[in-house]
Amino acid sequence: MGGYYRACPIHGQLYPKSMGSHLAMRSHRVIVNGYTLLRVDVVQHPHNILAPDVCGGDIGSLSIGGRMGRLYYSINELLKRPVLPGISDRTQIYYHFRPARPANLVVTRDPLSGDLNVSAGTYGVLTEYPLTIGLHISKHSFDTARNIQGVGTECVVALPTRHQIRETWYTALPIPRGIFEGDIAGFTLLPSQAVSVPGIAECPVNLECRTEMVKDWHTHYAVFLKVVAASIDDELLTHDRQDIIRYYPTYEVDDQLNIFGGSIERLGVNGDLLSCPGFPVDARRGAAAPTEEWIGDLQAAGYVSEADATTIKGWLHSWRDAEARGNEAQMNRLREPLTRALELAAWEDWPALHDHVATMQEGKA
Amino acid sequence: MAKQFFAESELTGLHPDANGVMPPVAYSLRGPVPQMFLVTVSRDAKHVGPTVRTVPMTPLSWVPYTMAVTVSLEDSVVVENLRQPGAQCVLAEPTRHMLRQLTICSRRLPRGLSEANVARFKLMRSLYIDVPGIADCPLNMECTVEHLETYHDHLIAFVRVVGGSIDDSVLFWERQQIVNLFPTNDVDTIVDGQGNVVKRVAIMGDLFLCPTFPCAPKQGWYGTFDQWMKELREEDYLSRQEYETIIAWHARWQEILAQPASEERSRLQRQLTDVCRLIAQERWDDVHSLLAD
Repeated sequence: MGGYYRACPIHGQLYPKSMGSHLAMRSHRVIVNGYTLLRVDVVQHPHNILAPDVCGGDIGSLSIGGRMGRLYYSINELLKRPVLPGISDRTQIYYHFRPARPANLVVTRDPLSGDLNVSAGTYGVLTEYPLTIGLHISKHSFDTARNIQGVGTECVVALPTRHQIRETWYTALPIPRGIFEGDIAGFTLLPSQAVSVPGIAECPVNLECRTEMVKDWHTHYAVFLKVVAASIDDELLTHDRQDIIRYYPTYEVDDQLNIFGGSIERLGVNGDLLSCPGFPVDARRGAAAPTEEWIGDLQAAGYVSEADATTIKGWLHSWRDAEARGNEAQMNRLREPLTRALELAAWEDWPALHDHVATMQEGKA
Repeated sequence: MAKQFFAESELTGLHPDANGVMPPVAYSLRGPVPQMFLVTVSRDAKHVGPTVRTVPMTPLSWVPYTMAVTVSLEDSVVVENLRQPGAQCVLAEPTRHMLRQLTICSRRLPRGLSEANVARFKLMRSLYIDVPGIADCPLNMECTVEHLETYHDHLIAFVRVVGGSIDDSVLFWERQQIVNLFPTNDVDTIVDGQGNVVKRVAIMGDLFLCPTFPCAPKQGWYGTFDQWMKELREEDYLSRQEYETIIAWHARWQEILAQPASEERSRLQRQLTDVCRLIAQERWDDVHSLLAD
């Protein structure tokens, strides 16, 4: 088994000080799919407490997983790209650590000639309101990197669909500067409303953007864009969200090896749409509501009694008061009962919540 | 396809309500975004557990491996933790089975209370930093904070991954299986039939392979145009004469690129566009005809 797959965790010499004697570790070799691995099981510490030097303080009820086996990687190991010819990494670690990122086609204009360019990339949402998005443009993406170089530069970020895999790839081809990839992909230009650069008619969403910040960032430029106008295919306005997310945008997922030892880009789209639990796990108004309002909602719906709700709200009031005054002794007294009450509410364990509040009240009495 | 346009003033109208719920079209415009659990600690606050918050992620660079996470400036606890000198954090990837924890960690508990405990997370030591990770998450990235930008009403933290850990039970899973498990993408926030605010997330579904050689360089990403043409010649997709014609066109194109008014430039632009389009579409008979002309 080579060094690449070596687990580098927790083995004595790596954790000589910080682990102290508080945790018991068991390491042994296991064979997984034909690979020999060093497996380290962290055995539950009897008091569930880590050494105080870990996070600058006692970190409370921090506990260690009973039988979880974890493999730790240094950054150098994480950066080893498995698609290099001759390296076959069945673990695909390089990709596991890179979450699938939403893909975009960014349309820009060459400042020298005025020629259009469209390049595939990925984006993130920086703020929802106003809608701003972040691009990370590789310095190897010469055209886009050159075309978006200043505050105020305009561009259009178009979101491709699952039916535009081939077209998306065309925009990633090493086409000479000044040759418009959109023509190669057969795209139709969509006049923009607010910027001088057109969008792509075949893409369901076009975001007309103005550059607000460009930061030279290692191998890339981090570009912050404000969306100043947008368009969306009419028919999507009535579609179900599940259908929409299976349709667009695509995501850069990973690369696969081709027969020449090179890479084949793999894209994906979202699948299942999952609802996180709302009330009573949270307030009816969601995370925007104060915690006190959540407790009030639970009382109004009959999940907790008026007496229990009053007690918990009292703890919250006392906590905020103690925190504002820097009264650590009071906070230390309240931390466990209050945390436990919120935990039991969040996990909908109503009888245990009632017992907990009653026990705390009895103790106080 | 008919389009609905939104001017800047109309986008301004797509604001979130008091509960943070935006009109559906606002979510359609931005698309689902990858989300992580951001774990931070306050060095000053003794006996305080870590703060765990659900945050969106934006990729930045691969070497070094950096990414940006966005936090509302109203989230004073996390903002202060990230602004500490030498701040560190863990980015842990939520799975499709952590929907309750996503709800819990979207709520900002009063300062000093740890969402980790409320969410029943088992915390674990990190190997390269002092901030603990989340043992329940299959993948944790240990990060240092390299740069902070205040942007509109948010703090954008540029973080550098210095190490990571993965649950060995998923180590040899197929990629399809992995991306069907984690991470989750933040889709939208809605009001359900009972009038309750509900966050919705998605997980990756279908995967698609992009084309490869001959309609791309053999290397894939970062191959060059000239190399691609050479490979097409070596594999007999192009004759020697056709290859030399394309290379000559390309060389001449580069010479006159800065002459936008030139007629020759316009002609060459058309020729190069056509030949690239036909090659990408693997229309070899048309490629030969074009180059024969």
